[in-house]
This record gives sequence, C-alpha cells and structure tokens, in this order.
Amino acid sequence: MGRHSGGRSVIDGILLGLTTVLTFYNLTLVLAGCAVGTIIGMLPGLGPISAIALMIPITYGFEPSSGMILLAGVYYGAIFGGSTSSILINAPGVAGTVATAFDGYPMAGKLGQPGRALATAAYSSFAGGTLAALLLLITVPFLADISLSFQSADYFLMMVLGLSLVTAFASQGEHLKAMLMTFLGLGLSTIGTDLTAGVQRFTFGRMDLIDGISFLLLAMGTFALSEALMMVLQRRKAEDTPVIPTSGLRISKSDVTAIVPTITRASILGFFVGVLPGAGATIASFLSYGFEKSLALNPTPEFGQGNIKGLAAPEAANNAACTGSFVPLLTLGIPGSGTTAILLGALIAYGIQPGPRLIVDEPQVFWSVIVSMYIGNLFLLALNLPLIPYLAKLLLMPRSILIPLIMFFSMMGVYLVSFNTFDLYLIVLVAVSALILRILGFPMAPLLLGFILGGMLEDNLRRALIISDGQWTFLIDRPITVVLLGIITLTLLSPMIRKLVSVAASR
Amino acid sequence: MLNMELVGLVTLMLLYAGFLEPLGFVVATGLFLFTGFLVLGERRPVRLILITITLTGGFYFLMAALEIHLPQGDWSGLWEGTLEGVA
Repeated sequence: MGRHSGGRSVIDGILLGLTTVLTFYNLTLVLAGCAVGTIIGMLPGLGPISAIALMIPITYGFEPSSGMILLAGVYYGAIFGGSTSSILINAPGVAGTVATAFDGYPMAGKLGQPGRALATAAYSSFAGGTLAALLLLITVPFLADISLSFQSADYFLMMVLGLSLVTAFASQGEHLKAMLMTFLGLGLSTIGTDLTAGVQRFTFGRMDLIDGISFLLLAMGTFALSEALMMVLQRRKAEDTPVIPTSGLRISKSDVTAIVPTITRASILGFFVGVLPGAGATIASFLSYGFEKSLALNPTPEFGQGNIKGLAAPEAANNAACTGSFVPLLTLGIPGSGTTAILLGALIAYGIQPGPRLIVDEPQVFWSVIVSMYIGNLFLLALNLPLIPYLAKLLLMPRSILIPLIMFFSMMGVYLVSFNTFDLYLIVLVAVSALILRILGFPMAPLLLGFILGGMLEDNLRRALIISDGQWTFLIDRPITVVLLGIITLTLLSPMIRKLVSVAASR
Repeated sequence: MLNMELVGLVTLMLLYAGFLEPLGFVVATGLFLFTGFLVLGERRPVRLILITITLTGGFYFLMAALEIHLPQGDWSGLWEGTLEGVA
C-alpha cells in the first residue's frame, strides 16, 4: 500500500469491513458480545480480561473475523458493565472505572439520580468510543504503512519497550513488582517445546506440558478464577446494596450541552493515552478527571459530590483509551495492555500472524475489527439504555451463587479447549498462586503481557541474532535501534529519576 | 489465619478436576455446584437444587447442541464387583 493510494484504500477497507460485519450472522455476534460483555463486566470483580477469557473457548470454531468481532463486542460491553457496577454499588470491576465511581456513585446514591448517572455514562462511553474509532481509522493505516519497514531487531526492541513502559506506568512504588511479574510471564512462556531447536524446556518430561501453558489457562487462572477467590476473602459490605433505577435512562438537554466539550476533550486525551503501551484506560480516566476538575470554576455540585462532568470525563476517556489500545495491536502486533494481550492471544490461536502485515495479509480481519467498533458502540447504546434497569438486578446475585459459577465457567473453559484434566489441576495451581501474589500487591497484567509477548520476543531476537551472525551489535547497528534502546533505558530509569527529582524538590 | 471457605473451595476444585472424567460431567458438575453453594453459605433447599439442576442441565444440553462431547463417565467399574457377587 503506497502513500499515494492511502486515501483510496482506507475507503476500500471500510467497505470491506462493512460487508463483513453487516451480515445477519456477524451482527448477531456483535449484539451477543455486547450483551454478554455487559453482564460479565457488571459482576463485581470481573473485568474485560475475565470476560474475554471466558468467551474465547466459544469462538474457537468461528472464522477469525467473526471471532474477533464477538470478542471486541465483549470488550466494550465489559467496560460499560464495569461502569454500571461502579455507579450503582461503588465497586469498580477494574481499575479503569475507578474514576467513574468518584462522581457516578454520589449521583446515583446521594442525589438519587441513578437513571441520569447511567445515561450520562452510556452517552459518554458511546461518544468516547466513536470519536476514538474515528481517530483509529486515521492513524492505523499510516502507522501500519510505516511499520512494514521494521526488521526483527526493531521488533525485538519495540517489544522490550512495550514491556518496560508497562513497568514504568505501574502505580507508585509498584515498579519493581510489575517488573518481576513481567519476568515471571516471560519465564512461563518458555515452557514447552522450543520451536527452533525442537528441545523441550521445563516440561519435567510431562506430555501435558509439551505444548506449553495455554495463554487462555493463564488468563483465566490469573484473572477470572483468582478474582473469584479474592471475592471469597472480601466480605461484601452492607452499604453495597445497589440503587436500581426504576425509570428509563434519560438526561436533559442542559446536561448534554454541559458535557459535550468535556467528552470531546476526554476522548482525544483518552485515545492518545490509550495508544501508549502500558498506559491505558486507568491513567486516561484519572488524567481526564483531573483535567476537567482543574478547568471547572465553581462547579455545582462539586466534583466528588455527583458532578456530571466528573462522570462524563472518565467514562469518555476510558472508552477512547480502549479503542486507542488497538493501535499498537493492529499496527505492530504488540499489545499495550492486558486486554489487548489476550486479544492477541486469541488472534494467534485462530492461526493469524499479528503485526504490520495484518492489514495486507488479513484485510478482512483488520477492517472488520475497526468497523465493528462503531457498530458495537452503537449496539451497546441501543441495548443498554432500555435494558440496564433489568440487567442491574444481576448485581443482587448473592456471592454464594456467583463465586461457584465463575469457578465452574473458568474450569470448563479451560477443559473444553484441551479435554485434559491436567489443565484443571494447573489452573487451580495458577489461581491460588495468583491469589497469593495479589494479596502481596503484585499486579497481574504485566504477567499476562510478558507471557504473550515472550514467544514473539524470543523469535525476533533469534532472527536478529541469526541475521547479524550471532553478534549483539545489531542493537547498535542502525539509528532506529539506538533510539529505541535510548528510550528503553530512559523508561526503565524514569521511576528512579522521578524519585530523585522529588527528593531534591523537598529539600 | 486461613479462610475456611477458601480452603473448602480450592479442595472442591481439585476434587472436581479428579472426578470429572470418572463420574461424568453431569454428576460431577452437579455435586461441584451444589457443594460450592453450600460452602459459601447458601442454605435455602429449593434454590440450591433448582439452580444446580438448571445450570448443569442447561450447560449439558447447550454443549450437546453444539456437538461438543462432555465426559460421560465410566461407571462400569462400580457395578462390576456387585454383579460378580450376585453371580
């Protein structure tokens, strides 16, 4: 795809995507994905990673593009469902919707306007997702064009950069923990048969480990199942009784005019933060919340007391960031977050090689994912505005029923892929280990990211080494690798630099 | 201090892993869910039985419709001894 034909092929691409998505079958999948995602995401403790992991086994028999369309729907649905539980019971399922609860929960509870809060969230998410999908459409083909010229050495360094950014963006004081989890993930990815040399690594002579650990098992174990076990430890508080909206979800015209500028700012900010590997929805939502708070003069009600802008900003930003996180995935094949990592895992399982050649080799998958984002957001809005009052009743499901259900679906999901009971023992082991690590404050997303990138990282490193005759000088042979190496060093040192600066400032 | 609910559920999952294939999906899953609800404090009998049966049956028939074969269980070993005794 040359630069001159860029504009035309984008239109061709959109048309290809539209013809793929606009079939009855695929539209049903988008709808089903959004609905299931909303329901799973709404359940306290379960976020998009768990939702996607639980749905992957179902998609194994599908065409790759249909599978991705379904999973993308599950993704937006789960984000929206997470906002719903943040607003109604102040229990964010994922870090990305924590900021939503700041003003959303007071608006639903103290001000007694759950319908208005949910409608604001729904419209803001929709606008954020749609604006970001537009930005995605503009940026992705160009970036994919550029990244076609990348070599193995560049890929290797890009992935190292991605992993180090995840570490750098980890919350204060957690950098080392995030780094350790990344290494643990990289280590786990080496289990199984080494495809280049045919040697078995860390299999302990067991047949069950010859193909390595499946990413699905690791994702379910470290997320869905260990989240369920975490719920066992956290007793539900009495104040968590949800405020179920009785009437339809509506917002007034004055509300709309108040939040339009907020949503626009938050969407653009969210998208670009989302593009950065490792930053993602959490940082995007907090940043835009802080930004709106600093812009507002004499807000009524105050931020944190149910201000509508305080709810719209993080909602638009986290949805835009989710869309933005597809940019590195679709252009480079490098996921920047736990969620895109698991989508990458699904792509590989469908037999598709992700990377810059995706747009050339699998245009149907590429464009249908992008087009399904618009349609998914539209469906989500159409589905949730009338249905949320009913779906919200799910929040009343007692934990005594919910937890065994998650346990069952996690174990069955893993079993139905391999039909091997060894995997059932393994997922219990993974979940219990993950639970202990969670209690000790270790983040799980870097582990998943390290695990999924591990194979590609090794592959590209090996190829680069073969090309350069086993010399590590490939790292400093070309300007691009030197620049990348410099950025990686800076990223890894940034926590220390920040600390030094703050110490110097306090003196 | 160990949380007894947690210990119970982890043991239950390990038992499920061990008994899924010998007992078959329907029996193993039924027992798994029922015990799981019990361990977490659900005591209303109608609810317990109804949810267990709906879920196990529903999932079984859904998979059957998708032509995914769940373990049927191997009960032959259980009866062998009894029959020999009779004969």
